[in-house]
Amino acid sequence: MGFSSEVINRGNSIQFLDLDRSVILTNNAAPDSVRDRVPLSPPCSLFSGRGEWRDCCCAPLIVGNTQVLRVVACVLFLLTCLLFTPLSAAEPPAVTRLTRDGRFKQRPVWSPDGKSLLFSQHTGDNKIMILQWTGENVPVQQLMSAVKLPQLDAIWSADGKWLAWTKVEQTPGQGNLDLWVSLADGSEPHLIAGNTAGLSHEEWASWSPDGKRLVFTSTFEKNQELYVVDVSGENRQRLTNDPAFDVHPHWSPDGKKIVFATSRWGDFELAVLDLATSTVTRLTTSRGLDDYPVWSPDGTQIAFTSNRDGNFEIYLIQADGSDPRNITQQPGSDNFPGWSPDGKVIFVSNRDNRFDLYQTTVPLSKPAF
Amino acid sequence: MLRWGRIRTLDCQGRSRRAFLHAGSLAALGLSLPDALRMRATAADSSPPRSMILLWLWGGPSHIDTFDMKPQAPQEFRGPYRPVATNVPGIEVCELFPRLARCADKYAIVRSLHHDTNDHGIGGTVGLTSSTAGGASLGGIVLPGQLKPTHGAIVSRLRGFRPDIPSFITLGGNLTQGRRPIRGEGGGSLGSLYDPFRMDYEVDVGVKIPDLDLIPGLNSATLNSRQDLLAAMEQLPQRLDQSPSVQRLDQFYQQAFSLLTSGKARKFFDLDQESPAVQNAYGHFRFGQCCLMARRLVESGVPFVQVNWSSTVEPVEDGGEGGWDMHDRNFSIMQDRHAWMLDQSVSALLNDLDQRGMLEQTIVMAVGEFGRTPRINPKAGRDHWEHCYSGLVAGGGLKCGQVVGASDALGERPAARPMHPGDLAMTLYGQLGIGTTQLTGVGLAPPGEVIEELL
Repeated sequence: MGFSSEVINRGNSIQFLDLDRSVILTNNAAPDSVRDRVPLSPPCSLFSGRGEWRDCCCAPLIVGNTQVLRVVACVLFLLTCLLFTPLSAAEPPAVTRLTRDGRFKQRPVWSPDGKSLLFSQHTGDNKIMILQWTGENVPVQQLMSAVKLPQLDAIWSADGKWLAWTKVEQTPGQGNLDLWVSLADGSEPHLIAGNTAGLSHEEWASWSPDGKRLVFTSTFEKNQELYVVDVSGENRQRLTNDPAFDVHPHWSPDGKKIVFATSRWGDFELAVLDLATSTVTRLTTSRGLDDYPVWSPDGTQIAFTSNRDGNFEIYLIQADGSDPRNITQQPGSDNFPGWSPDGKVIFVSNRDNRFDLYQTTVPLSKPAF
Repeated sequence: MLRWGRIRTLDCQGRSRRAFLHAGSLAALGLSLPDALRMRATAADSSPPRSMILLWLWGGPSHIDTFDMKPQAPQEFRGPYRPVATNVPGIEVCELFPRLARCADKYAIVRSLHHDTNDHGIGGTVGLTSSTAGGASLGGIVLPGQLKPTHGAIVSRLRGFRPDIPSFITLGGNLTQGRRPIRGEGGGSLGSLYDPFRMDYEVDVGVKIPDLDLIPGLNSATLNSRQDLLAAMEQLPQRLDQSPSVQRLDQFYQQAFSLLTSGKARKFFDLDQESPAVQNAYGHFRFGQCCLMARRLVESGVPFVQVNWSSTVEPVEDGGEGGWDMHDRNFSIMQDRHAWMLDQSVSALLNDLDQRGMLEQTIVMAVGEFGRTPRINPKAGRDHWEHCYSGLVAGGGLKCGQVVGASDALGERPAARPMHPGDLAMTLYGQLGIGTTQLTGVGLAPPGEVIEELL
């Protein structure tokens, strides 16, 4: 196993990627035989006072042969490096912890007015329920507590009046998940996508900005594909048709595109479906899993989960897939990103050894237009 | 009644030369060579008897998505995950297991397990007893033959009772499929005396002891905290005297209840005795903390601890407790929950045992009742697959840092060294000092052939 010089500085530890990016070993966790083989980049020989200038990391920019020129060139080079260092190597944004019960959670979504938060939580008796959070010192409430079957992954319509969510229809069964819509308080539920003829799962809905349709995934016609359906439950239409998995769609704020994760190129990568042309454009090409994409409120960025550096972190990319930035950078697992209406990123993390909701303290996107 | 003397005689973990000579004489009467070799090694070893932790992955994990990846297979087989290198050159595991990748030198992967049933109930009976005899299918049909004892019961029978602690503890409830209990979790032909003593752990609740439910007024719902548990234990002696239910309990359970009243036992069950760093390393979810409990129990002298991943095969989305039976949404569940839970808890257990110098004396096995179909089904899931699957074994003097057996290009059938769960059981029994002699001595046939590559 060889190691590249790709070194990720992660606070107090350093991680090394092997040549095919297939494993990450921290300097503390790596066995001696591996640590010994890690070719750490030597410190700048100019500043360390060792070696010749040709050994210096900034040797390519050194044009003179005097000590002064060497020092100036070296400083300029380092400043240049700092200037163009991507955010992934910079300090991640500060976060605040919103919950403290530690139970496993998924898919936190803010209400459009930013006053209420829904997420799915695994309860102590191994059920999934949808909970509503309205403040750090306010007890969370179960939404639709009268429904005894497992429910998960609720999401608000853009006007905040409606919810779409998934309910497990048959238990114990083998995956009969259906998509329901209700008023925001959970009342007046009605089925909009299900399969009465057999087992399939309709799940992970996202509203169109005008609130008239939803995109979701289904195995109704075999394989996991993207579909859209009217909020009335009519006009179900298949959007993708590929032998791979197409999962976790999210509708863009302008209503023109849908970002989703797909395994059509091997592992999970992000792609965008242009609804006008039905063309699919690949957004990411990382080795590792890229999943759970969510548009920022202003539509210029996409937050997603990736294990491209070895564990699951929250990344941001521009809408065209450029400029990936790791905004979490910690050894725990960060997953299920979402956006607050004012542009903060919320996610689930076990960074404090339990699973809770965290949110950046500063907006990383402009508010919705 | 407890037959201490006989049990001690049968227990070759006494590790005396006399025991070896005894075994040698039996070898001349038909003992297998591996038995004799193992007895000799055991006799020369003055270390304490080995224990075993069985991590029972109920529902059947996919071998393709865990320890036997097929990156060259067509998309409909290989799935979306890639293999990653481990700290042992040449061994790869799924990318969802970064921690296990860093400690592959501490375990061996067996990639060619197989048997003949794709029913959870019967598969569970095979995995836990090495035989289909007496197993019950989903439809309730009981197969012919007398139900065999499970691994823990055999160890319990041959190690014998201890007055201070049960010999066989299962962390988790009764295993079920379709809400019907399976058969093969207990003493079987050895009798209910060798059934497991059951405990469990629940996040935010702590240790749960289902048998306490038998005492009027005391049930798991009242045990809301560690303080409640300790308070309940304080009251147990009085309750034991007064409760008619308890009076009906057999000697095994009375012993177990007595155990719960001792200060020593409280220490076993109190995970707060562990540092936060250790608790965190195992993960604050049920299976992780049960793995920590298993280590504490083994450390305290329990020879066999079984940790059930769940009681039901079904995932939470199917109304179950989060089992591995992922006929649909296999990849979402793997990625979001099961993979990292298994990765964190098993790697923490192995590293913890190693750092405490316990790994050599503790066998760890992680396996389910079967694997899952190499070909992905139309529901983004994988179905039952008994023809070829993987297991992970570690510690206990086993030769680790290796892969034993191999599956074919698609992971459908063993390509080399097919092995039955009984072969694996016989191998691990041997490391526990249980050979053909001991098994036949209690009326049991050897369940399989020793896998020499693991020794």
